[in-house]
Amino acid sequence: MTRFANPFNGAFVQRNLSGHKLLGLAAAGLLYLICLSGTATVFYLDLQRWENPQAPEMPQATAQAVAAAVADARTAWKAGDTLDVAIPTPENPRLVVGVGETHRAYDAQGRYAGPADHRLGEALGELHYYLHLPATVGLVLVGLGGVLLLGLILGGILAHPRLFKDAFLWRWRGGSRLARTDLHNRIGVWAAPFHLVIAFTGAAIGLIEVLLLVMALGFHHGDAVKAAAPLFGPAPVSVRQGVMTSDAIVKALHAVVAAYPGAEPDYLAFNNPGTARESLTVYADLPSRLTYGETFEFDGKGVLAATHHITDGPLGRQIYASLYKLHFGSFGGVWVRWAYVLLGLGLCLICTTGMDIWFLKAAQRGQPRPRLHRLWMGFVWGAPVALALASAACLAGLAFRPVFWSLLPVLALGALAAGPPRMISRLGRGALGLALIGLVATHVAVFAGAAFSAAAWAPNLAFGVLGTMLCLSLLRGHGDAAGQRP
Amino acid sequence: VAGLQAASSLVLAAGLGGVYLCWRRRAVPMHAALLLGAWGLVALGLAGWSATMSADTGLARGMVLAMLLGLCAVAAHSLGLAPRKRAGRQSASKPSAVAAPAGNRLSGLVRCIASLTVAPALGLALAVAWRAHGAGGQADRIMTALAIAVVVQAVALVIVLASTRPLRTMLFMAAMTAAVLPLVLDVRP
Repeated sequence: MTRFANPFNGAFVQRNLSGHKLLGLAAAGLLYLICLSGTATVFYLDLQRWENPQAPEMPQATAQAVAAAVADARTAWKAGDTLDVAIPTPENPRLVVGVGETHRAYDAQGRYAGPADHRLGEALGELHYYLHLPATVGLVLVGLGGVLLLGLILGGILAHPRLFKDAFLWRWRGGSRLARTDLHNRIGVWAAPFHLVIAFTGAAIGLIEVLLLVMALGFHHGDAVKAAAPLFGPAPVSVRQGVMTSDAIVKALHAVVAAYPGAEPDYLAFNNPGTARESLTVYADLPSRLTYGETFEFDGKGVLAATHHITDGPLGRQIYASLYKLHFGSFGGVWVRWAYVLLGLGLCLICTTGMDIWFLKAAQRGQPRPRLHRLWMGFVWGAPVALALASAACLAGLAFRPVFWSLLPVLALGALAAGPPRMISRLGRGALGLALIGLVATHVAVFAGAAFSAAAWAPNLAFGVLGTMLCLSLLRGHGDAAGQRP
Repeated sequence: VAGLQAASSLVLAAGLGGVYLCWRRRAVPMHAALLLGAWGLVALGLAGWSATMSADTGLARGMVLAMLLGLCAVAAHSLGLAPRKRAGRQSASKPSAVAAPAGNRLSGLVRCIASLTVAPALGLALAVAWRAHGAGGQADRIMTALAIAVVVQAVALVIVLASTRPLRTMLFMAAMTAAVLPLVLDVRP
């Protein structure tokens, strides 16, 4: 009988481990920042509500109220501005009209209720999407981060021959290296489906632009809209019918509900707003489906011109439209979003423990890299501290980007002078705890009573409790079983 | 729906509990069958979740629950919440005696070039070739091409970084890309 060689022999495993290490060392910083910002943006809509706690909230708005809000927002519209509407949903119970770079909140009757700009939410989102780089470059870079993460997951699994034998083993009292290796492997194995989904969907969302560009050049004489049409559906209507009236908007919203019973219109985008060729694209969520919803094109008179058939069209279109909810965890209410936060933090932990293992192994081989280790620890703790402080600055009216990108290198480099990694870890915990408490204090100082409104009390409580716990953790003794944990 | 979701969650938890018990006691009779049964319960729980709403959303929610339960089991076992009749396995993982692939500046450079250029080029070439000549409608072909671009790049990265002869691997990948190029250039609108 023929006997096949065990593919998971020592040399094979060691080669994959070596590749895993190389890739991890090259990409750890980038992936950590992407994962951390991604975790922070899971509650993207809640953050937008939190930074505008005074805006009115309502479970739903009538089509007439939406039309009234649009009519009012047109008074603030200038030539060249975009015009879009977020309609109240259970996740985001607000009626907000975007006019160019500004956002305006409305009450349930469509009356103007004040500005609703969400600079913080946008800055966090753009950090995750683009790393604050120019849009296409940043999106492709983050997409390549997804490819690297996918490579790390595949390489990690191949380098892990005891995948099932050690399935539940975490020797957290077994010394620094063993504890970190077990933690790295256990989170890596049990959360592997999440990691694979996040990596694949992130890479796909980031790289679709590159692929469509290549396909446009190759198949459609450079016409990117034509190349994208099979995946995204038809282009908006462009017929000279004048600016849409309120009646036309109401008619369009009623037509959506009639066409797809159970569909919940949640977003309107006006195409060529304010011009004679104005038309309307309506996005409607179908809560039971994983796709981001169905999309409808209306002409200037509010007559349905086309449906994108995202939920009942070709399988490829349905799969692509499902990538977004899967990536951002917006398919199962609050508990799934909390699960995504925990699993996202687990992914950050995998990045940090992976590097820790490498530093500890190097030290045990007699080749310690203390300065690099301190720099890494400074980066790991500096990133969330910079996020919290930049968020507080943003609430106080400063710009998020310069504060964040100034603080991050300062904190990372500052760690070089802060002593051994263990001390940096303690300082980092303390700094993050104080930064979170400072964030809550800033929110209360800026918004006063509104800081305890329905939209704000839960995030403030969560940030306050987490900050206090981090500070209290410093009161614990320095020692641990191994006595050498950084 | 809520009842079925609760029942599916219980079945899922029971299945993972079974996997955990099988992991703790490998010496019991019919171990393999018990383990298979436990994973079967996990699959049944996921199927139950899928049945409570559209299959895609239900499966996704069930998977999230399964991952959280698995991590809870790891924490419970390791932090001493599980019965300590047997203190858990001792891992047999030891430092491997096999040396890592020898690396020098040249092989590092080759790996770097292969990772940054050849792997993405191969992924993109195969993706565009599939878009041009693959089966299915246009949307299906684009989505499959996207999946090919991502997965091929990732797999190529793993292969080239784990290779003991990165130059040979890189040349092989470059040759594959070149072999696909005629398909890419012979496009159909």
